[in-house]
Amino acid sequence: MPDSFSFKNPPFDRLNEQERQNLTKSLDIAYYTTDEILINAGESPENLYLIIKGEVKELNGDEIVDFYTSQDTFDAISLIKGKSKNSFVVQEELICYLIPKKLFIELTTKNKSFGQFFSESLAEKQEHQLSIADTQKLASFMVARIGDAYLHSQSIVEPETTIRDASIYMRDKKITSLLVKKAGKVGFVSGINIRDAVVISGKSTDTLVADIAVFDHVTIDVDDFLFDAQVLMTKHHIRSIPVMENGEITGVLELTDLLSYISDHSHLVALKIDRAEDIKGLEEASKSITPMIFTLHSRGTKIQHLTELVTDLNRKIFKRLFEFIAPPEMVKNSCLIVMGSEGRREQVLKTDQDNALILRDDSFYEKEVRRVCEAFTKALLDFGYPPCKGNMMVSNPEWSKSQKEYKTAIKEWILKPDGKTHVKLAAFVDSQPVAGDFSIFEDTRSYLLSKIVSNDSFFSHFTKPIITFDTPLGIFKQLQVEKGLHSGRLDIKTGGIFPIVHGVRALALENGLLIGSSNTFDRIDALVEKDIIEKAFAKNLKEAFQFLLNLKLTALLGKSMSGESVDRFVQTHTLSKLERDLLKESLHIVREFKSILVYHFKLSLFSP
Amino acid sequence: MRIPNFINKRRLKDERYSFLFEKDESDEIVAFDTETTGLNPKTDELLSIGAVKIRGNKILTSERLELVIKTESKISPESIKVHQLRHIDVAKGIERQEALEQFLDFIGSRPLVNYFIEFDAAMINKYLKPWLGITLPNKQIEVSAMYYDYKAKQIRSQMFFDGDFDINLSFSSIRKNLELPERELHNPFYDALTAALAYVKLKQLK
Repeated sequence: MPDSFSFKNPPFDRLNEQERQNLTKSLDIAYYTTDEILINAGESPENLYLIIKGEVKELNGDEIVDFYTSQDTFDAISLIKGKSKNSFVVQEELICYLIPKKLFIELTTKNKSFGQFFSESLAEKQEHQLSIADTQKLASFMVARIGDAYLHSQSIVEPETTIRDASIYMRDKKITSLLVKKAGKVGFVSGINIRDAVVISGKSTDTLVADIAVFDHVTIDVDDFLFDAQVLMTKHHIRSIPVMENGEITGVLELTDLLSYISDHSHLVALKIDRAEDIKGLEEASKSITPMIFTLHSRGTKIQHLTELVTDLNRKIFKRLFEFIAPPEMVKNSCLIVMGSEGRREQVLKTDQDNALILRDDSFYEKEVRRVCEAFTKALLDFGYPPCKGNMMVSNPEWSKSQKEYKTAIKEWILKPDGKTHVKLAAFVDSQPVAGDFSIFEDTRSYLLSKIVSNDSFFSHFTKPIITFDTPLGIFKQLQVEKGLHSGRLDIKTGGIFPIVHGVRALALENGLLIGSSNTFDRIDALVEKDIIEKAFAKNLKEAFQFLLNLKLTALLGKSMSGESVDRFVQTHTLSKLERDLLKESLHIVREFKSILVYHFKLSLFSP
Repeated sequence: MRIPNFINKRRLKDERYSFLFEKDESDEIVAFDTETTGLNPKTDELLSIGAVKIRGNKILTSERLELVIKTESKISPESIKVHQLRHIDVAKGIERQEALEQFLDFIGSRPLVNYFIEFDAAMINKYLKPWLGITLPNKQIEVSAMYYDYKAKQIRSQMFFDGDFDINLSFSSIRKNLELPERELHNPFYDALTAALAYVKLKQLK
C-alpha cells in the first residue's frame, strides 16, 4: 500500500527520494478475479503491474511462457515497445499495484539504472548475455596461444622407421601425424603423406618414413596465437602443424585440438585419458574434468549432457587406471564396477568413490589383491575423487573379493534386512561394470535377481526408508523449508530425489529389470514397457525427476564453482518464480509416487 | 437513526454544500475511515481521516485523502497504541474545519464504504450537524454486511444447510478469509484501503 510500498525490492531500490515520492503518489491498486485477461496480445497496456498477491500467467497462444507472483512486475517490455507480444491472464486472484505507463517510461528514461533493470531482465537480457558469452569465447580464442591448446609431443620416430611401423605407431598412440629426425632436421609425416605415398604413388610399406617426410613443412611457433594456426590450416589445407620452440620442432598441433579448444574441451580430456601413458598422465587428464565442466556449465550446456559427459570420462579413467595398476592376469579374471549415482549416471562432479571389485575365484594372492585395490583407491584420491563415506570402495576387503564371497554376502543382504545391508544392496543394484571381464559382474547380478524374486516381505523392508522422510510440501502445496541451521533451505535430496530413485530401484528389482542400464530414467521406461507404471504418470515422474536432479546438480555446480562446501540443500529464495513453481509441481508428483509405493509395497503397515 | 434525505436537505444551512445531495454521476465509491480519541462519538474527538476512491475494480490510491487534525484534547493511551498518533503528532495537524471541508469536497455525493461505517459516520455527523445542519446524506455500505451475505450464501449453497450458523465478522477475520494483504500500519488510510479491497473483492465474488 502506497506508504508501505516496499522500495527494498529491485529495481525500485534504485529510485531516488523524489522519484519514490512521485511513484507513491501515482500508484493505484487493482483487484482481478481468476481467468481475467489483463493484457491481450497485440494490445498496448496502460500500466506496469506489480503483484501484491496472486499469480499471473503469460501466454503465447495457448502455451504458458511465464509465471508471475508476489513482487514480480509485468510487462515492461510491452510498455517500452508499445505493444504486447503475449497475453497476460490471472492464474490466481490478484491484487496488484498499477504504475501508470507515463510515469514508468519517465522513470526508465530518467533513471538509467532503473531502466536498465527492465531492458536487462527481459528478452534483451538473454540476447545481451548471449552476445557477451559469444565475445568472451571468441576473445579467449583470439588471445589463446598455441601452447594453451594440447600439444602432442612424444611423436618423434627414428629415421630408419618404415612406413608400416610408423603407421602401427600412429595407430597405437592414436595420433594422425608424427615427426622424424634426419640429419639434424625434423621432418613431418601425416596420415595423408602415407596415403599419398603408398596408395597413390604405389610405394612399398617398407619405405622409410624419412623418405616421404616433409622437411620444409609450414610450422608455427609455440607462442603464436591459436587463430594463426587456424588461418594456416585453412590456407594450406592441412590438419596438423608442427610446432616450433626455440627453433626446434617440439610437437604437433592437430585440427582436432584446435576445434576442441574452440568448442569445448571435452574431446581434449577424452584424448588425454586415452593417450595417458602412466598414472601421472591419467591424473593430469582427470584434473582437467572439473574445470571443463565449469566452463561448459557457464556456457549453458544442459545438465543432462554434462552428466553423460562426466560419467563417460570417469569410467574411462577408472578403466585405464585399473589396467595400469592391476596385472593383466587380474584384469582378465576380475570385474571392476562402479556403484550408486556413478552407476546410475546421475552425477555431475567427481562424486564419492563408490566402487567394487569382483574376482572370478580365489586364485589370487590376498596380498596382491590388497596391493592393487589400495593403490587404486589411493590413486583416485590423488585424482580428486573423495572417499566413500560408507567405505564402499575397493580398498575395503568387503568390496574386493571373489564372486563366491559376493554371493554369500548377497544372500545375507536379502535375508537379514537392516538399514546397513539394504544400503549395500541398493548400491550394488545400481552398479555397472567398467573394466575387466563384464561377464563376472553379470553372473553375480543374475544371482542377486534369482534370490530376490522368491522373497516377498523383503520389499516392504527394502522400501521402508521412502516413508521415513516427509516431502517438503505443505498441505496447500507451499514449499516447506528447513528451520534452524539450514533455515530457508530445502533438502531436495531426501525430500525429492531419494524417494524417486529408491522407489524406481525397488520396482525395477521386483520386476527383474536389472539387465542393462541402472539409470533412473531408463528404469522408468522399462517399467512402463512392462506396464508397471502408467505411461502418463511416468512422463510426469521423469519430468519431475529431471527437474529435481537438475536443480540439485546446478546448485552443486554453483556451490562448487564458488568454492562453497557442497551439501544437499537448495536455497529456495534464489530460485526464479518459474523454478519455484516447477519445484512445487515436482514435489507434488513425488508425493503421489510415494503414495503409490506405500500401497504397492504395503508400507502403511509401518508408521512413518 | 438516519434522517430521510429530503428532510436532511431542507435543513442544510450552507447552499455551497448542496452538491452533497446531487445525483452521483462519478461511478465511484469512497472508502473512508477515521481515528478518534476514543470510542464514544458523543464525548470523543476526531483525530484523523483517511479516504480512497474506488472505480470499478481499481482502488485509486493515487487519489486519496490523509488528514491529521490538530487537537488539544486528551487522547487515551489505549488509542495512541492503536493508531500511533501521539499528542505531538496531532499538534502538527490542520484545523478540524479545514479537514471536514476537504473531506466533503473529496467524497461529493459518492456512496461511502467501511467496516462498522456507522461509527465513522456518527463521528463526522457530530461536527456536520452544528456546522451545516445536516448528517452525511451519502449512501453508506457496510463491509461486514456484504461479507455476511457472501458467507451465508456460500454456506447455504455448499452444504444444503438450513440451520443456524455463526460467521465471525471481526475485521481481522474478514481480512484473513478474503486473503487480503496484511496491514502494516494501523491508520485510517490503510484501514480505508483494506475496506476498499474487501469491498472490491466481495463485489466480484457475488
